[in-house]
Amino acid sequence: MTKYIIKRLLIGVVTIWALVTITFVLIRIMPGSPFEADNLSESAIEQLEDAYGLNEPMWKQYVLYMENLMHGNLGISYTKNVSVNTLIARGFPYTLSVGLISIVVSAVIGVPMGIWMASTKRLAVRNTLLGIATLGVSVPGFVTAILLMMAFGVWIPLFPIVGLMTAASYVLPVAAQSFGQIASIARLMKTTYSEAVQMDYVVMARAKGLKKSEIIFRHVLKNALIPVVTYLGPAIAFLITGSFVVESIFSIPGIGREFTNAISNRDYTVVLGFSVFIGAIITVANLAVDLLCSVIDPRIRLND
Amino acid sequence: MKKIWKRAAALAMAVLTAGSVPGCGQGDRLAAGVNTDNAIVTSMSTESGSLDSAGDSSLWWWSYDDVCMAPLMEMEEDGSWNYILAESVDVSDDMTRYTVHIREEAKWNNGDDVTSADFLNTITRALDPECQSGYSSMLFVIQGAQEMYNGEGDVSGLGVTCPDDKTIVFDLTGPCTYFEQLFVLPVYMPTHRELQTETNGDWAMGNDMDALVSCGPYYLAEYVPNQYCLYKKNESYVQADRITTETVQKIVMDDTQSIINAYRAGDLNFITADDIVMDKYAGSDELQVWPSITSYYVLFNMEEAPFDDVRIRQAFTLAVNREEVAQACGSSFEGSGFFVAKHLLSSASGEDWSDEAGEDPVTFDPERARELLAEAGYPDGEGFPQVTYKYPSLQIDSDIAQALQAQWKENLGIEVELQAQEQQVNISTRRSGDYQLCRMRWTADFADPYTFLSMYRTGDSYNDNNTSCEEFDTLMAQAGEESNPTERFRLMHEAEKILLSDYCFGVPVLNSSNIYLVDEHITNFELDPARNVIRTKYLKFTPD
Repeated sequence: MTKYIIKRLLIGVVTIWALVTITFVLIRIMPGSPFEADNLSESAIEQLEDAYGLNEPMWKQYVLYMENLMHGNLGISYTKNVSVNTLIARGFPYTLSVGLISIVVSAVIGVPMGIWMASTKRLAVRNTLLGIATLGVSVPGFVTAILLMMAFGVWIPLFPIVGLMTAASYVLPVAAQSFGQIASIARLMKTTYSEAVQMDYVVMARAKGLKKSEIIFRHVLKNALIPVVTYLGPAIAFLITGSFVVESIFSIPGIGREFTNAISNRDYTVVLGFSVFIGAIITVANLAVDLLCSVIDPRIRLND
Repeated sequence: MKKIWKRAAALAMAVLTAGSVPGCGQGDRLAAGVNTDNAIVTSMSTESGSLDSAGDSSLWWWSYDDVCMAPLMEMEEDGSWNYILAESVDVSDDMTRYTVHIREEAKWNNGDDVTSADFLNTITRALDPECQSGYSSMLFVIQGAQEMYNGEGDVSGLGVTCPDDKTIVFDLTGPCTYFEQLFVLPVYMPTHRELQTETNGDWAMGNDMDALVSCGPYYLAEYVPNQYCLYKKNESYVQADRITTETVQKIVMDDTQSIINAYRAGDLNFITADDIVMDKYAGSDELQVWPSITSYYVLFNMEEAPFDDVRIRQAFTLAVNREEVAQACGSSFEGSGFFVAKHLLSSASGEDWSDEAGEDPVTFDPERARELLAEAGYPDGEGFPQVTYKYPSLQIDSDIAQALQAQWKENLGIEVELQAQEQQVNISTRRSGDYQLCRMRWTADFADPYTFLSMYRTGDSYNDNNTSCEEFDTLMAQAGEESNPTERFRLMHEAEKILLSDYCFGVPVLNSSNIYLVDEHITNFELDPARNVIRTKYLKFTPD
């Protein structure tokens, strides 16, 4: 197990190194410069690029960046005059809190909804649920976000729509982020659950006269949940690294909005720093899910 | 790292547990519980740059300036001067020496006097290129400033002297009639000589409130990065009796649709909107529309065929029906045959620039356009090489591009290819000259046509398409030395006409508007004549 974890972490480091290198090259190939705002003169831009070492050969800049990265220093934002570490520390708690709540909400609603879909015998209920789930996967996130904002923020002003100042402020962004996830989880759950109930061991358990709840929780769910947990890995990574769209629409001061702004401003260090950070989260989240799967299902061997 | 998780978990827990608590009445809907009586709640874009007047002053600085800065003097809506920190200004007869007397009662909100050293502090720091000021070149009318910026001189050669604490003397390189107009720019604002000396330092990022003192109408009382700036009235401001609203809160929001929704939901009571609200709020008192001092125009690349031929440039200019283009873009746009924004206030006549000119420098004349095109060897556009128009992928610029494409197709028989680019890419394209036709937009920095016309003098650093027109340069030089305002404006009108119709550096297209939605409790809209934007500091809040 320990060996497996170490191996996975090493692969993670290589992945992040590749990510940094590719991002580093790509962002510099992009036309534009962090100082090319409308107001600076040509000579001022040159002097600034000099001051920030942007006129050095690319490999030199790369080596310097990697050196700083080893020390956990992600550099200083070109447009905001603060360190990238500060920007992450400032924005991430908001992104993370919205993300964590969204995961909980998605799982708590998605899993029972899937089971209900699979086990109900009433066609109308099943079709309604299936309809909602299909809608959830096919409607793009920004449409859901804007519709929710219009419906429950403007027409029926139940919830705040600006920032995350009060607890009620979380309702709409979380709903917008969770809607698609609930649908995906429910659909996945429905499929795996329908398959699991037909398994021989379930029939056997029924024949033995076990309690219905015991059958569902001990035999069916334990097996049906594996694909869902595997799905949750990327979903968690996706949710806690922030939805660019939802953060921008609901004016949430998280890292998603910061990241998009940095890209349009060509703020090289911020783009790189955020890529590394998000990359690390995705790596860790995937590892955590694999470990969790082996706990749920001991047949999954992690050593190989 | 641990801290972040802890904070996030705490936040998440707090929300999950508080989720059951209902109650989201109007009171706690408003950000951070601002008292809605006597408060303006508006939006601002994500902070960029710093609050240092000598430093990287961009959108955030302007948003701060809107409520916190006190210039020596500023122009009122009717063109008259309002002396704020200055008591009086003596101008020498040849207009090369300006002596400014600062008000005795001008104070920072920590009680310190505002002195001449505060102004010098900004100017000397802004002349160091590493300070990242985008406005340094606006100091170059002062003797020795450009030399200092280029590292060829130092402060001893600078034409700014402080004979005493309340007097500053500016010695200029030549006569400059618009010098006082420049006083509203960041580099002419005071920064505290002891507390605000570190360029773009902690104080300028809103992290050190003791050092971020203000001598203007408001001071920054509370700042949460990426969330909001809360401003409170500064009782020691020299014109404090003119300021009636106690609090101004600016919430960081970037998405226009979200800003409009937040206004409709009552979270904001004063917002800058865009053309999409024009129909919905037509005829409503909530809608305030003012022509902005912004010109949209198309630059030619005159160094390559086909636009190296002046006849083709003229044909492209004459073939555009600007009214139709404006109609296609929305009711807040106005076609313009001028390069200088039409509604820029002339300090010579008190009229708008376009009214003062009498006639448009360029008009819509498809017949003449076709003749010119035929003379250049392309009758009815036959055999005309493929040309591309590059523009930023913003809604308004796409609308303009399609309308222009239709005009050129209809009136010249030429199919211009359109290429939308991401905004930064477009700026880069324009700067490097990698285009045939490129969209350009300019908003006035100060209330004088010079802010537009000076850009296209030979060799100017903003001259992106290397315009070089001897006659225009001569007229601009004459205007620069002319001390009679009426004559100076006449010269500038003539210069603009030559630049647009004879030399034809680009195609003027339209002017946009500043569009606001304002809650019925708010009145007293005073405009900044340089940009025709509402001055938030003077807004008045009347409770029910």
